Amino acid sequence: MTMDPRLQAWLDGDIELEALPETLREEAHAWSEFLGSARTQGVAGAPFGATARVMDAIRADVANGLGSRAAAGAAWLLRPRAVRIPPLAVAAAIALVILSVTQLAVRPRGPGALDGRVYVQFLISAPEARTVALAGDFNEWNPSIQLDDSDGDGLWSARVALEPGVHEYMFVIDGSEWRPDPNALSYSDDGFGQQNSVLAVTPVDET
Amino acid sequence: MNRSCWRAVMMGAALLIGGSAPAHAQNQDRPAIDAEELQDRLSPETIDRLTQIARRAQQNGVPPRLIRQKVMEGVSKGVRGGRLVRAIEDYSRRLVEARNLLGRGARPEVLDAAAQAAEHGIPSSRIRSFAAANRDPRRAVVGLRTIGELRDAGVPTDNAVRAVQAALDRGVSGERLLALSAAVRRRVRQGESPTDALRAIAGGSRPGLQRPAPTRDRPGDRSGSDRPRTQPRSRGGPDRG
Repeated sequence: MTMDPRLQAWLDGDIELEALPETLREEAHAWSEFLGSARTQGVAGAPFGATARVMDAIRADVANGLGSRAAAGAAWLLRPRAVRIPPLAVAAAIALVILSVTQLAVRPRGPGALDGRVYVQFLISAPEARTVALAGDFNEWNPSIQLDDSDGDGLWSARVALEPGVHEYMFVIDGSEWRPDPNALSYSDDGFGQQNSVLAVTPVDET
Repeated sequence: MNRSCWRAVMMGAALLIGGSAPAHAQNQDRPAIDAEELQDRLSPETIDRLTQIARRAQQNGVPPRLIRQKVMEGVSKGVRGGRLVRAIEDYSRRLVEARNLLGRGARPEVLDAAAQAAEHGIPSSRIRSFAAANRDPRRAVVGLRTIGELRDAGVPTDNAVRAVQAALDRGVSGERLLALSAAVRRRVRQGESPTDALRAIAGGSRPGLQRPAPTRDRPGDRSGSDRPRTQPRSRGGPDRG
């Protein structure tokens, strides 16, 4: 059941009682009496102390249920206490921290990091090639690094971040022809009847 | 210290170690042969034989990733069947020998370099003593490779070892050491004996094996020609990798 919008407008104070049609005025009087009575008696509140009793009951439920372990753990952690530690244990703990920090520092970085790696510019002249890729021990010999010859002069290049050390590599022309770098510093038998190119990457701080 | 405190300390230590050690070993733990990865490119028989070779190598202390690298290299290059198996078997055998020579503590890259040096005819005793004298793996790797290449160019082993060790001690970079055997070969082609060629280059009469001047970017300073060549660069932005 919905209220007549004109009656609603009167209750909201938007229009005067006289603006209502006769048929609604009687209902308007009834509303007026009811609301006046409610204002006189006030809104009934909760009995005195009920709020505190309900909250106590909730706390008791939580303490008896899932929250009990957490509460006990928090209490254990927060309770002050005297701790006696042998110097040997302190030394061992410090050694552990140093060891762990050192290990974190020397851990090989992920592909997105540059720390410790050195950019190497790979170049090969291959005017006849449609594509040139690079494969080596640094990418498990997957010819996934594409060289670029955007100006079409036949000189293909790519810049790759490599760990310092000695690396073997080859170029892959048009997806099938494995070709050593004609200007490599050194070559190495690959065991399959070909020669890998060899490159030594020196750490930047040693150059 | 009571038991609760000890427990707390041990838990902290375990967290610290657990946070670092497994990640450090992540790359080392990949299996040498991943049958699923290779099944589209190799026959089941080939995969089976490679798996057996890798297992034997690993039992003899060879790091799986060395075998894996060589297998992936062969597969990428289109080597298949018995030819691939023979090459991996041969490589594995040389790695096991290098492992027996250098002991369990040898780094994978040093094992690989030692195996290559042995392939070039460097005696085991010289490989062992050189590796022992060069504990830094990068020095050992580039040194062993260069000694092998010089031996291949006709330089007697003793001369090669002495020249390479002296160059390393002077702080000569790996790039320059790797270029040494090519330089020796060039002079040999011009009529010099390998020993004389090495003496002329490594003896200090050329700038080739002197310590390079400190610089962060050395474009084309090794070739002596204007031909394009692959070279290390400074820390600019990457195109790839």
